[in-house]
Amino acid sequence: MLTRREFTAAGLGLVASPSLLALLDACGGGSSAPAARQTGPEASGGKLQIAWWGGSDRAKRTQQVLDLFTRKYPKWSFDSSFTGFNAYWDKINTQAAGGALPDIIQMDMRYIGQFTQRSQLLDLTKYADAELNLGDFDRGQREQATINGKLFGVSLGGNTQSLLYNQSVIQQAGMQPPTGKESWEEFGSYCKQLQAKLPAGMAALDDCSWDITPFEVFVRQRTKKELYTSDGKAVFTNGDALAWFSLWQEYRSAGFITPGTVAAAENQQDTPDNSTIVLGKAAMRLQWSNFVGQYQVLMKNASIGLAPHPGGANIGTYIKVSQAFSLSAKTQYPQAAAAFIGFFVTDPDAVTVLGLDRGVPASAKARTTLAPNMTPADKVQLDFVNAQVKNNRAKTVLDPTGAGEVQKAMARNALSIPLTKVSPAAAAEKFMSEVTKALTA
Amino acid sequence: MSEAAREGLAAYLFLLPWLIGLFGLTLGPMVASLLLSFTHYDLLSPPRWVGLHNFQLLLSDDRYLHSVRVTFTYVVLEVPLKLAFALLLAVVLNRGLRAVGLYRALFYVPSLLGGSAAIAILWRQIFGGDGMANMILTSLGWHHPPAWLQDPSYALFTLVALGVWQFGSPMVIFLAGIRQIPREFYDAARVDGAGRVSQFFRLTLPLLTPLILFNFILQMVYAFQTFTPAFLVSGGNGSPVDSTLFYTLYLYNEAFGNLHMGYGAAMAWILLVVIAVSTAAVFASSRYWVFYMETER
Repeated sequence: MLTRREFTAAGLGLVASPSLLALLDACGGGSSAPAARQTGPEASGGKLQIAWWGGSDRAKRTQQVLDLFTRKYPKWSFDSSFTGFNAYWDKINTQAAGGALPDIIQMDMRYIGQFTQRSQLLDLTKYADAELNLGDFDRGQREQATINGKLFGVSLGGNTQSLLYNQSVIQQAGMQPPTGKESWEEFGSYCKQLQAKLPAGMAALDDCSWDITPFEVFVRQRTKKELYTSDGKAVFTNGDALAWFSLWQEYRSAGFITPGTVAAAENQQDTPDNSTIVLGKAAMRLQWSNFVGQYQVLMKNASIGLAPHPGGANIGTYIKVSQAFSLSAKTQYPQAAAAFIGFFVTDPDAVTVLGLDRGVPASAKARTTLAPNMTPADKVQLDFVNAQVKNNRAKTVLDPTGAGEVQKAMARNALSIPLTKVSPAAAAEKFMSEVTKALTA
Repeated sequence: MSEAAREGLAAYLFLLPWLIGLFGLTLGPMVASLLLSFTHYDLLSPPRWVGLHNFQLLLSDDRYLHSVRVTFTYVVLEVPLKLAFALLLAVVLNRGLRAVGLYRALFYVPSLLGGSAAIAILWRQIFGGDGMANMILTSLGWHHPPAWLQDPSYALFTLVALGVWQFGSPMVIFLAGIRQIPREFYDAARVDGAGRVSQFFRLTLPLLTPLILFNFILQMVYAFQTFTPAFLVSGGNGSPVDSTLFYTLYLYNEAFGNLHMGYGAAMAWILLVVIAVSTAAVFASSRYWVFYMETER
């Protein structure tokens, strides 16, 4: 029979021993010792964490490529996660805050400035030739993700702003698709004509007033500059915001854009599966060119076409790095992760699986691999981007920290006009004050 | 060391794991949070002392004040409604219906499911523009029902409905309380000619006031901290147009979205003070409306 003293001693011993073991484990040769920093995919194994945003089709393709990589290098496996675009940044920021960014992060050009400013991304310059295989990479795409001379992201595809339209519906209405040479007013007249011939419940144009993508084109057309200055201030003024909101208010009064609640739903769940074109609520949408494939996959009974962005004489569009893969600065497997990215953008099997879902590949070899076997939608995208190469003005200023918050402010204020009957003037003022707050915080 | 001192030491040693948890995971972070609320801290560079600046910024932050309004509206609507439903159903279930055990379990199930992520997503599907609720309403003849979750005038009320739907747990507590009221009181009341309604308002309700106080405070404290339904139903940003921007949701966006940790800490401490003051106010008022049977002896 144990005395109380012996019981206490035994209990303390039990509690103390696991902590001693953990201490020994950390001091001795652990598997995550610093010596493991330079490991290529053949040399050793591990689990890579990867995160991206996108819809169900992109998830399927990406998962296939992850499986292809694991088949080639069986010692490596993946821990993957994906969400819609809006939720993605909260998640990534939270993970960054906890020091637990995934090894491989899909990155957007509006956010990359923020992450590099906080030194959260790994400089990939030294992996450029070997692991990343960037020898035949399009120079413009490589430069967009190069900040202060260091490469922080590898482009997964190029895209450009465009007008996506449901070709079948427009043909049935007996009209020609827009040419892209219309001014905003002429485009409005076109939409009005189209609306008269569309079935009930379908608007001619999706309400895109809340989306910063067409707003950026609008500002670039008006000011002939960029959205932001190189020292992080906004180029656009109250006048530009008011012109934008007023334009869409005119469109709204003419009755050919989707109602505010539909636009809000699209903003709440922003995957292709929930877009108004796929759901049959709109015939046209201002959108990035790489969405043509994603929409086409979801719409079996209609074909999707691409037309140049409206807005007339001044060029506002640019060929963008649609998205990139970056590596976390704290990754334990930089070389293997870089090799994965190189595999993702140049390996023929991987490139074939991915198609043009994330845009037109920047690697020339990848483009030639894809050429013979492209789906019709991919061909439309490739032809369009090639045609637009001569019709764009390169973006020269990277979005500053706070650009993501500006994007959210645009959504809130643009939607307040149809939903809470705020006047465009009041919305523009509120938007500008939120922009100032976002860019100076 | 004396025997008594050794026993005392043994006691503290047994308490040690829990004490480590208390100081390391609860009290310590609370003190750190209080100190951080006086700093600018973005988790990547060391905190920078700014005194009361965060609190001053909050007072002039329109979205913050809006989130306070939204949260207060929610609490003021959800808590009384929820308790009213809970009380009503407790009274009904107390009548000794034949399958009372089954009904009790059925009404409790929503509370079990709670405001979890799955339920919030379900709610979004039901109350979206093309969701089940609107399908039912159009089939009943209402041709253009509003898109409940995308219309700023209604979005908050769907969340109130989600909260009220979980009335099961206060209901079970009320049921137990009603069962504790001695039957002699009801017999005496009936002899004096009191009808059912009179019995409820003059007998049941006053004798339940201690439980009403308990449930009210409990539900109020939870309601102030609502996060999951707001986050999931609105897509994370209080949409549409900030109509569902709850206090905790705005805190999350500022602290973790924009890495304004000091700002978020300041908001958290203000919430703590508000909840504490509200609770104290309710307790203070309880002197006037709560009747404790035992103390009247």
